[in-house]
Amino acid sequence: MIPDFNKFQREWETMANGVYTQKLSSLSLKLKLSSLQLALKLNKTDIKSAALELYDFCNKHEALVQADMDVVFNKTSIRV
Amino acid sequence: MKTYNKLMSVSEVDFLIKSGKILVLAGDEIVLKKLSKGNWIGGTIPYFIDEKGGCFSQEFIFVTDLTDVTKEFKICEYSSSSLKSLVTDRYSDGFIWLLIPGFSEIHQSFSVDVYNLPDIYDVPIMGWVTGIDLNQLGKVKPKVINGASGNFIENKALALHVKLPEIKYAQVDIINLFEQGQGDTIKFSKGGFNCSSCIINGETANLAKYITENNIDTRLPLVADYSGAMINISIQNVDAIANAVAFYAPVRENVEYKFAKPVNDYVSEFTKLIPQDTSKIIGSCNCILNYLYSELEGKKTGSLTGPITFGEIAYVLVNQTLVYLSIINKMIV
Repeated sequence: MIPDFNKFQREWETMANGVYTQKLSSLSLKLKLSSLQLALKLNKTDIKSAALELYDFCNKHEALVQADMDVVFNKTSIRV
Repeated sequence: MKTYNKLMSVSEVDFLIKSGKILVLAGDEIVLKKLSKGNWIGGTIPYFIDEKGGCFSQEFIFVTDLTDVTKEFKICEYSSSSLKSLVTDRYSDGFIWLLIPGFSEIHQSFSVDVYNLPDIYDVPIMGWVTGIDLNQLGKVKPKVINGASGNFIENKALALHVKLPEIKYAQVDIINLFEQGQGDTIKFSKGGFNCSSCIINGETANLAKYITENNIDTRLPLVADYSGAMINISIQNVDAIANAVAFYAPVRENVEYKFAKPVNDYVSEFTKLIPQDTSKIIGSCNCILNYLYSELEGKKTGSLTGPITFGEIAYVLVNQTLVYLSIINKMIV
């Protein structure tokens, strides 16, 4: 599974606005996503790096965020 | 999985210590000094929520026994300058239970610097800020205790790093009754525990004046929405003469805050938010401000028990929040 960054870029904003994130159950994922949001806002990272970091985080913590991965990746079509 | 999570007498706790149990202890400094050395970390605090409800005790010790969930452990101390080692010392398949002495330099530096530690959200961090009898404020310093060495420490954070059995993982979560109100959006151009100027709805303003002029109830925290996680910053003091506001945790640059909606009945609202299944929860702590403002003495908060603390840690420092740690079996596919 390779993240589709073009799709991710289009849908990141929607997700980050809370349409999807409100459904997340994992505190760590919420905080991680929020830190990436802030880094993007402050131009400390770019959308591709942020997406990759989030993807890696979710993969690394599959047990912890298993239910959330559906929300982050499948419902936002990030998995291809 | 069997864990103690309750108030016990000194002799009962000492028996557990001498039995080699791996413990997190909370109690008044006087009683903690009576304990033997062993596999434990402790923090000073005389306020608790026990199975009978909120209470003040300088006689009993709150015990969380982690023995049955621990495969390996190590106890490490961190100064402000060595805090970055927190992430390199940890077990990747475990959790950290962190205790920080209240009003100390490490309390301040942790709460600011934790956001910059690499991969900080990779391993759950549960913990609390130690405190004292409120009548002793300014006279006695909160401490953490390294049970292995017997040292009482005023200015270092103390971590119990726990490695879990392979079939288990840890999860930290919070119960926060507060959510953002409908009021103005407040931002800060500089983070920290104190502020005078801020940005309200895009306009530069003075927060102390704003609070006074709008007659804002300062028992209500500022709340930031971190992708659905409501993180509070509690107001410590509003100095109307100096036009300055002090906080119990640092506000952060570029984060949007709103004052919280009022909570009418803490206990009943809290009870609604407690997870239905609490069998996997092995420890929790709640905030001294919730204890005071909601008059929790003698009141139960469901089945969740633990120390009442001067700040809570759920990866980062939070205020007016209950934090709990669960140990869960991994799903085998």
